[in-house]
Amino acid sequence: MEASSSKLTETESWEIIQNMIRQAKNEMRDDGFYYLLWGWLVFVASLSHYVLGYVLHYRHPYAVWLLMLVGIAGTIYQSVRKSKTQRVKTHMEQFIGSFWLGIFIAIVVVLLGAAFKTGYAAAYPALIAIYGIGTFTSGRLFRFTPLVIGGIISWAIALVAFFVSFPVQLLLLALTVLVSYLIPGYILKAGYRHERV
Amino acid sequence: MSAFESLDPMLHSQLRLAVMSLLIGVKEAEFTYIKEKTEATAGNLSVQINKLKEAGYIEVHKSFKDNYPLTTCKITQQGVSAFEQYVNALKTYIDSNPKNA
Repeated sequence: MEASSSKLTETESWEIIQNMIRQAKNEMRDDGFYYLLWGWLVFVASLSHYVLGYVLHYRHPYAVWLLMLVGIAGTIYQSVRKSKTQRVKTHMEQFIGSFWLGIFIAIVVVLLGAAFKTGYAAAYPALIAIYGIGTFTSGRLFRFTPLVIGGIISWAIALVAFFVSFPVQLLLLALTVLVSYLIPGYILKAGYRHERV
Repeated sequence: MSAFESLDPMLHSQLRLAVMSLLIGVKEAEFTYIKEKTEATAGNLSVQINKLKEAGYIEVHKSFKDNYPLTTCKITQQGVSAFEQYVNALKTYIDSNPKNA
């Protein structure tokens, strides 16, 4: 950039403003890390729960959900690492961070209610619907259609889940994370790589 | 007199306008990030950031990160208002002189 005292024309002013706003906008790229991390963990856990509990008849199939601790550790590690290397913070990132924290807390609340009162079969449709809120809203905010579609499909699956047994709900949960986390996550990752080349 | 002549002189400067345009879209940004995006020299950028700070348009926070000094800049409410006024004045001028846009 040239010396600050140079005389600006109105067109140059516009160009500077547009160019800098575009630069800041590029900071909102998402590499899909969290979608892939949680997508794979929930996908593997729900299918394993199904196979262990209803095919192999193992006594404690729900133990596979301990895998979620890996997700929590991975999320904390990645966010600390990112905050150390990141040179700019956007409002959108701050919002989306709080939003997903809210989604996580809502999931924990529903799971606690399920564990102590209603049972998991009553809670899983609500969980699937909450997943849908997360991906749909994120997709709308970032104008990323695969997440929006994933969110809408999650809600359709949530509705179906009210009418089926718990083992089928486990399969539906795996399908939910496949369409709303894994597929959009891989598309994001591919786009992010492409942009960085 | 055109609207353009009444533009805020604090913002009507290439580098200061670039810094403000960058900060308006983010929560906060480090000095090295602003330097990279504006392609300014460290010395010139320091001077212009200081002017914006003295005008109350930005907040500058100095700290340390991994034992290196870290300067972080953030736009203030006053800065946001000034930037909006500047953009509106620019828009009025361009609307009234479409061939110059």
